[in-house]
Amino acid sequence: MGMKGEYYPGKLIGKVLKIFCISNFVSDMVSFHRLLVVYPWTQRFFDSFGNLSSPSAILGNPKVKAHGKKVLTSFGEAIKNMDNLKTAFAKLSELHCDKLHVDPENFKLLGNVLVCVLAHHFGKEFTPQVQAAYQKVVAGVANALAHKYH
Amino acid sequence: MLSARERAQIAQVWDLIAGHEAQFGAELLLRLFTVYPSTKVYFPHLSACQDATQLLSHGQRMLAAVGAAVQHMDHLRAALSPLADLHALVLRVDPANFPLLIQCFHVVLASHLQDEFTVEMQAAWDKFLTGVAVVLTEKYR
Repeated sequence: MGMKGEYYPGKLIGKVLKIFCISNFVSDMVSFHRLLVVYPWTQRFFDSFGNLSSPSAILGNPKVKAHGKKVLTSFGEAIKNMDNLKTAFAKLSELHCDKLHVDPENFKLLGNVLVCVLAHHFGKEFTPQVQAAYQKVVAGVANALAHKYH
Repeated sequence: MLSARERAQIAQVWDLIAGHEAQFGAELLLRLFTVYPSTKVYFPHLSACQDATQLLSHGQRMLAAVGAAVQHMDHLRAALSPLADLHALVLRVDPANFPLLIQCFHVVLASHLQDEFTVEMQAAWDKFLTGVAVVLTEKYR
């Protein structure tokens, strides 16, 4: 991971970004909501978040919204650093290992959920090729976040 | 163990798929091969030429099996026993591949159905397909 061109189809992602303007997604916190609903065991990291007792409670939860925004902003940064993900995410990786104690498996789950949200949003424009490109990006981010675990 | 609500949601998802088995099945396979090229090893003739007719035919067959599983979601083991034998003795698809297929399935449904495929429906559908995968790989050893 972290190689150029043929592994990350940079041109395709660039084209997708231009058309889809991913910054719009930062304010759309549904990815995080979807993670907590589809894979409810991920809620284990958010005991302090208050009411997560139902999908609608999760959707309305302000802490979920805030955290979703933080995570998606970070993801948006990833798109700009695709040749250097491990360096870009080094500090966050250490944080998730040493302080947050998050199983890296969760990064893959969130990545997959994000892809589903993109598919939902863009419909038929989210072709197999576009999906492939995004799955590679989320896999790269997941690996970068797991890189500093010890 | 499926709740009554989950059963209803799974049935709802199937209602959205029924009638489009070939189309959705073909796209499911196409996404699987495009996003996770290593899965092509299990479909040597299909993935080499990616002939639309063959993809539609195989896609239809796969989704028909999913439909049968939906009809028998309370006794999957009995209903899927012949398919479980096939996977254990002949196909021997590594269990790690089923989550890849399931992810592509969610993407097919999300991209085609958009708002009709709600978050709760995805949760129930994921749980159901994961259960199907467990049954299909249960006889491996």
